[in-house]
Amino acid sequence: MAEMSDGEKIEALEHGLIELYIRLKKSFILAEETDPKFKHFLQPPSEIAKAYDHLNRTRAVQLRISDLGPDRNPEEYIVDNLGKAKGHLYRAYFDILDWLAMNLRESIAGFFAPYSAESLRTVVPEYFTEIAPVMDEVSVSIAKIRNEKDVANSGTLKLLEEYEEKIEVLRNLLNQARRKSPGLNEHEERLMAEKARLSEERQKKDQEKLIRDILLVFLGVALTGFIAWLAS
Amino acid sequence: MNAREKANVLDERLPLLGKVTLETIAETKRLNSRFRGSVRVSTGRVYTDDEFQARRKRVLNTKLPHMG
Repeated sequence: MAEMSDGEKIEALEHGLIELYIRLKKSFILAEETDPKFKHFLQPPSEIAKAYDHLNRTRAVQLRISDLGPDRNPEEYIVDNLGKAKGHLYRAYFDILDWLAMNLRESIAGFFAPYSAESLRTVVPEYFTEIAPVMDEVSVSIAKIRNEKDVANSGTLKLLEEYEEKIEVLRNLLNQARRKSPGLNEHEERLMAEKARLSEERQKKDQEKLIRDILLVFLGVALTGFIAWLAS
Repeated sequence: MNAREKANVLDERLPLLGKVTLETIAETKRLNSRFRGSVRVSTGRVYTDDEFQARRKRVLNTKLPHMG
Protein backbone atom coordinates (compact mmCIF):
# COMPACT_ATOMS: atom_id res chain seq x y z
CA MET A 1 0.00 0.00 0.00
CA ALA A 2 1.34 3.44 -0.94
CA GLU A 3 2.36 5.62 1.95
CA MET A 4 -0.09 8.42 2.78
CA SER A 5 0.84 12.00 1.99
CA ASP A 6 0.98 14.51 4.86
CA GLY A 7 -2.35 15.92 3.72
CA GLU A 8 -3.99 12.49 3.70
CA LYS A 9 -2.46 11.68 7.08
CA ILE A 10 -3.87 14.91 8.53
CA GLU A 11 -7.30 14.30 7.08
CA ALA A 12 -7.37 10.74 8.42
CA LEU A 13 -6.32 11.95 11.88
CA GLU A 14 -8.95 14.71 11.91
CA HIS A 15 -11.59 12.26 10.76
CA GLY A 16 -10.64 9.83 13.53
CA LEU A 17 -10.68 12.60 16.13
CA ILE A 18 -14.18 13.73 15.26
CA GLU A 19 -15.49 10.14 15.23
CA LEU A 20 -13.86 9.60 18.63
CA TYR A 21 -15.31 12.84 19.99
CA ILE A 22 -18.85 11.89 18.92
CA ARG A 23 -18.64 8.51 20.70
CA LEU A 24 -17.07 10.07 23.76
CA LYS A 25 -19.72 12.79 23.94
CA LYS A 26 -22.54 10.24 23.71
CA SER A 27 -21.08 8.29 26.64
CA PHE A 28 -20.41 11.49 28.58
CA ILE A 29 -24.08 12.51 28.37
CA LEU A 30 -25.12 9.03 29.47
CA ALA A 31 -22.63 9.03 32.37
CA GLU A 32 -23.94 12.36 33.62
CA GLU A 33 -27.55 11.18 33.33
CA THR A 34 -26.89 7.94 35.21
CA ASP A 35 -24.84 9.30 38.09
CA PRO A 36 -26.75 8.23 41.23
CA LYS A 37 -25.78 11.36 43.15
CA PHE A 38 -26.42 13.70 40.19
CA LYS A 39 -22.83 14.83 40.41
CA HIS A 40 -20.48 15.98 37.69
CA PHE A 41 -16.96 14.68 37.04
CA LEU A 42 -14.56 17.39 35.89
CA GLN A 43 -11.61 15.37 34.61
CA PRO A 44 -13.13 14.51 31.19
CA PRO A 45 -13.98 18.14 30.26
CA SER A 46 -10.49 19.11 31.37
CA GLU A 47 -8.98 16.56 28.95
CA ILE A 48 -11.37 17.70 26.20
CA ALA A 49 -10.20 21.30 26.73
CA LYS A 50 -6.59 20.16 26.32
CA ALA A 51 -7.52 18.38 23.07
CA TYR A 52 -9.26 21.56 21.89
CA ASP A 53 -6.09 23.51 22.63
CA HIS A 54 -4.05 21.20 20.37
CA LEU A 55 -6.70 21.41 17.64
CA ASN A 56 -6.49 25.21 17.71
CA ARG A 57 -2.74 25.00 17.22
CA THR A 58 -3.28 22.94 14.07
CA ARG A 59 -6.09 25.11 12.70
CA ALA A 60 -4.06 28.27 13.31
CA VAL A 61 -1.32 26.88 11.06
CA GLN A 62 -3.77 25.63 8.44
CA LEU A 63 -5.52 29.02 8.32
CA ARG A 64 -2.17 30.85 8.38
CA ILE A 65 -3.12 32.65 11.60
CA SER A 66 0.10 31.53 13.23
CA ASP A 67 3.57 31.26 11.76
CA LEU A 68 5.84 28.52 13.08
CA GLY A 69 8.96 30.07 11.63
CA PRO A 70 11.47 28.57 9.20
CA ASP A 71 12.77 25.86 11.56
CA ARG A 72 9.55 23.92 12.00
CA ASN A 73 7.69 21.84 9.45
CA PRO A 74 3.96 22.79 9.49
CA GLU A 75 2.73 19.33 8.45
CA GLU A 76 4.81 17.58 11.10
CA TYR A 77 3.59 20.12 13.68
CA ILE A 78 -0.03 19.47 12.71
CA VAL A 79 0.36 15.68 12.80
CA ASP A 80 2.12 15.93 16.17
CA ASN A 81 -0.62 18.11 17.67
CA LEU A 82 -3.42 16.01 16.27
CA GLY A 83 -1.75 12.99 17.87
CA LYS A 84 -1.62 14.82 21.19
CA ALA A 85 -5.26 15.86 20.86
CA LYS A 86 -6.14 12.21 20.29
CA GLY A 87 -4.20 11.22 23.44
CA HIS A 88 -6.25 13.68 25.52
CA LEU A 89 -9.52 12.47 24.02
CA TYR A 90 -8.52 8.87 24.83
CA ARG A 91 -7.86 9.88 28.45
CA ALA A 92 -11.22 11.66 28.61
CA TYR A 93 -12.93 8.63 27.10
CA PHE A 94 -11.38 6.19 29.60
CA ASP A 95 -12.45 8.46 32.48
CA ILE A 96 -15.98 8.69 31.09
CA LEU A 97 -16.29 4.92 30.62
CA ASP A 98 -14.96 4.35 34.16
CA TRP A 99 -17.58 6.75 35.47
CA LEU A 100 -20.33 5.10 33.42
CA ALA A 101 -19.29 1.59 34.50
CA MET A 102 -19.39 2.68 38.14
CA ASN A 103 -22.85 4.19 37.75
CA LEU A 104 -24.23 1.07 36.09
CA ARG A 105 -22.64 -1.33 38.61
CA GLU A 106 -24.02 0.70 41.48
CA SER A 107 -27.49 0.87 39.88
CA ILE A 108 -27.58 -2.89 39.33
CA ALA A 109 -26.47 -3.69 42.89
CA GLY A 110 -28.85 -1.03 44.25
CA PHE A 111 -31.73 -2.43 42.23
CA PHE A 112 -31.44 -5.92 43.72
CA ALA A 113 -30.52 -4.86 47.27
CA PRO A 114 -34.08 -4.42 48.68
CA TYR A 115 -35.22 -7.88 47.57
CA SER A 116 -34.89 -11.09 49.55
CA ALA A 117 -32.91 -14.03 48.20
CA GLU A 118 -36.18 -15.98 48.07
CA SER A 119 -37.85 -13.41 45.78
CA LEU A 120 -34.79 -13.35 43.54
CA ARG A 121 -34.69 -17.16 43.37
CA THR A 122 -38.38 -17.32 42.46
CA VAL A 123 -38.80 -14.35 40.12
CA VAL A 124 -35.30 -13.85 38.68
CA PRO A 125 -33.60 -17.25 38.88
CA GLU A 126 -31.14 -15.99 36.24
CA TYR A 127 -29.85 -13.52 38.84
CA PHE A 128 -27.75 -16.30 40.36
CA THR A 129 -26.95 -18.17 37.16
CA GLU A 130 -26.48 -15.35 34.67
CA ILE A 131 -26.68 -11.77 35.96
CA ALA A 132 -24.28 -12.02 38.90
CA PRO A 133 -21.67 -14.15 37.06
CA VAL A 134 -21.79 -11.84 34.02
CA MET A 135 -21.37 -8.82 36.31
CA ASP A 136 -18.29 -10.45 37.83
CA GLU A 137 -16.87 -11.30 34.41
CA VAL A 138 -17.43 -7.74 33.19
CA SER A 139 -15.72 -6.32 36.28
CA VAL A 140 -12.68 -8.54 35.69
CA SER A 141 -12.56 -7.53 32.00
CA ILE A 142 -12.82 -3.85 32.87
CA ALA A 143 -9.99 -4.14 35.40
CA LYS A 144 -7.90 -5.85 32.70
CA ILE A 145 -8.68 -3.12 30.15
CA ARG A 146 -7.77 -0.43 32.68
CA ASN A 147 -4.44 -2.12 33.36
CA GLU A 148 -3.64 -2.36 29.66
CA LYS A 149 -4.61 1.22 28.82
CA ASP A 150 -1.90 3.38 27.36
CA VAL A 151 -3.11 6.39 25.40
CA ALA A 152 0.02 6.43 23.25
CA ASN A 153 -0.54 2.84 22.17
CA SER A 154 -1.95 2.11 18.72
CA GLY A 155 -4.29 -0.52 20.20
CA THR A 156 -6.07 2.00 22.44
CA LEU A 157 -9.08 2.43 20.20
CA LYS A 158 -9.62 -1.34 20.21
CA LEU A 159 -9.43 -1.35 24.01
CA LEU A 160 -11.96 1.46 24.17
CA GLU A 161 -14.27 -0.47 21.88
CA GLU A 162 -13.96 -3.51 24.15
CA TYR A 163 -14.73 -1.27 27.11
CA GLU A 164 -17.82 0.12 25.30
CA GLU A 165 -19.01 -3.45 24.71
CA LYS A 166 -18.70 -4.23 28.43
CA ILE A 167 -20.66 -1.08 29.24
CA GLU A 168 -23.36 -2.22 26.84
CA VAL A 169 -23.50 -5.57 28.67
CA LEU A 170 -23.99 -3.73 31.97
CA ARG A 171 -26.72 -1.54 30.45
CA ASN A 172 -28.54 -4.61 29.16
CA LEU A 173 -28.28 -6.28 32.58
CA LEU A 174 -29.77 -3.21 34.22
CA ASN A 175 -32.63 -3.11 31.70
CA GLN A 176 -33.18 -6.85 32.13
CA ALA A 177 -33.33 -6.33 35.91
CA ARG A 178 -35.73 -3.40 35.68
CA ARG A 179 -38.15 -5.43 33.57
CA LYS A 180 -38.47 -7.84 36.52
CA SER A 181 -39.41 -5.04 38.89
CA PRO A 182 -43.22 -5.60 38.94
CA GLY A 183 -42.84 -9.35 39.52
CA LEU A 184 -40.27 -8.83 42.25
CA ASN A 185 -42.39 -6.22 44.03
CA GLU A 186 -45.46 -8.45 43.86
CA HIS A 187 -43.55 -11.46 45.22
CA GLU A 188 -41.96 -9.40 47.95
CA GLU A 189 -45.40 -8.07 49.02
CA ARG A 190 -46.77 -11.60 49.08
CA LEU A 191 -43.84 -12.70 51.24
CA MET A 192 -44.39 -9.80 53.62
CA ALA A 193 -48.12 -10.59 53.85
CA GLU A 194 -47.32 -14.26 54.53
CA LYS A 195 -44.80 -13.26 57.18
CA ALA A 196 -47.35 -10.93 58.82
CA ARG A 197 -49.98 -13.70 58.77
CA LEU A 198 -47.58 -16.22 60.36
CA SER A 199 -46.54 -13.70 62.97
CA GLU A 200 -50.19 -12.96 63.80
CA GLU A 201 -50.95 -16.69 64.08
CA ARG A 202 -47.97 -17.21 66.34
CA GLN A 203 -49.05 -14.29 68.51
CA LYS A 204 -52.57 -15.72 68.74
CA LYS A 205 -51.21 -19.16 69.70
CA ASP A 206 -48.93 -17.59 72.31
CA GLN A 207 -51.88 -15.71 73.80
CA GLU A 208 -54.02 -18.85 73.92
CA LYS A 209 -51.18 -20.75 75.59
CA LEU A 210 -50.79 -17.99 78.17
CA ILE A 211 -54.50 -18.04 79.02
CA ARG A 212 -54.39 -21.86 79.25
CA ASP A 213 -51.37 -21.70 81.56
CA ILE A 214 -53.04 -19.12 83.82
CA LEU A 215 -56.21 -21.20 83.98
CA LEU A 216 -54.16 -24.31 84.85
CA VAL A 217 -52.43 -22.42 87.66
CA PHE A 218 -55.78 -21.26 89.04
CA LEU A 219 -57.17 -24.77 88.74
CA GLY A 220 -54.12 -26.15 90.52
CA VAL A 221 -54.46 -23.64 93.35
CA ALA A 222 -58.21 -24.35 93.65
CA LEU A 223 -57.66 -28.13 93.65
CA THR A 224 -54.93 -27.84 96.27
CA GLY A 225 -57.24 -25.71 98.41
CA PHE A 226 -60.11 -28.17 97.96
CA ILE A 227 -57.92 -31.17 98.90
CA ALA A 228 -56.61 -29.31 101.92
CA TRP A 229 -60.21 -28.51 102.97
CA LEU A 230 -61.25 -32.18 102.58
CA ALA A 231 -58.26 -33.32 104.60
CA SER A 232 -59.11 -30.92 107.40
CA MET B 1 0.20 40.44 17.75
CA ASN B 2 1.94 39.04 14.69
CA ALA B 3 1.64 35.48 13.41
CA ARG B 4 4.87 34.34 15.09
CA GLU B 5 3.70 35.72 18.46
CA LYS B 6 0.36 33.97 18.02
CA ALA B 7 2.19 30.68 17.42
CA ASN B 8 4.13 31.25 20.64
CA VAL B 9 0.94 31.88 22.63
CA LEU B 10 -0.68 28.78 21.15
CA ASP B 11 2.34 26.68 22.13
CA GLU B 12 2.08 27.74 25.78
CA ARG B 13 0.52 25.25 28.20
CA LEU B 14 -3.20 25.86 28.72
CA PRO B 15 -3.73 26.63 32.42
CA LEU B 16 -6.44 24.27 33.58
CA LEU B 17 -7.96 23.07 36.77
CA GLY B 18 -5.51 21.02 38.84
CA LYS B 19 -6.69 18.58 41.46
CA VAL B 20 -10.38 19.07 42.29
CA THR B 21 -10.74 19.49 46.05
CA LEU B 22 -13.42 20.68 48.45
CA GLU B 23 -11.79 24.13 48.30
CA THR B 24 -12.12 24.18 44.49
CA ILE B 25 -15.82 23.37 44.82
CA ALA B 26 -16.38 26.00 47.52
CA GLU B 27 -14.66 28.60 45.34
CA THR B 28 -16.74 27.61 42.30
CA LYS B 29 -19.94 27.97 44.33
CA ARG B 30 -18.81 31.33 45.66
CA LEU B 31 -18.25 32.65 42.14
CA ASN B 32 -21.26 31.00 40.50
CA SER B 33 -23.08 34.27 39.77
CA ARG B 34 -20.28 35.30 37.42
CA PHE B 35 -20.53 32.30 35.12
CA ARG B 36 -23.13 30.49 33.08
CA GLY B 37 -22.90 26.81 32.48
CA SER B 38 -23.59 23.52 34.18
CA VAL B 39 -26.04 23.77 37.08
CA ARG B 40 -24.30 20.85 38.77
CA VAL B 41 -20.97 22.64 38.67
CA SER B 42 -22.32 25.99 39.84
CA THR B 43 -24.17 24.37 42.74
CA GLY B 44 -21.11 22.37 43.76
CA ARG B 45 -22.47 18.97 42.73
CA VAL B 46 -19.03 17.87 41.60
CA TYR B 47 -16.81 14.95 42.61
CA THR B 48 -13.52 15.86 44.17
CA ASP B 49 -10.70 13.71 42.78
CA ASP B 50 -10.33 11.92 46.12
CA GLU B 51 -14.06 11.32 46.38
CA PHE B 52 -14.17 9.87 42.87
CA GLN B 53 -11.28 7.49 43.60
CA ALA B 54 -12.91 6.43 46.88
CA ARG B 55 -16.17 5.77 45.07
CA ARG B 56 -14.39 3.74 42.41
CA LYS B 57 -12.78 1.57 45.09
CA ARG B 58 -16.04 1.14 46.99
CA VAL B 59 -18.08 0.23 43.90
CA LEU B 60 -15.49 -2.24 42.63
CA ASN B 61 -15.41 -3.97 46.02
CA THR B 62 -19.18 -4.13 46.42
CA LYS B 63 -20.56 -7.62 46.08
CA LEU B 64 -23.98 -8.08 44.55
CA PRO B 65 -26.72 -8.74 47.14
CA HIS B 66 -26.99 -12.39 48.31
CA MET B 67 -23.75 -13.31 46.55
CA GLY B 68 -21.65 -13.64 49.69
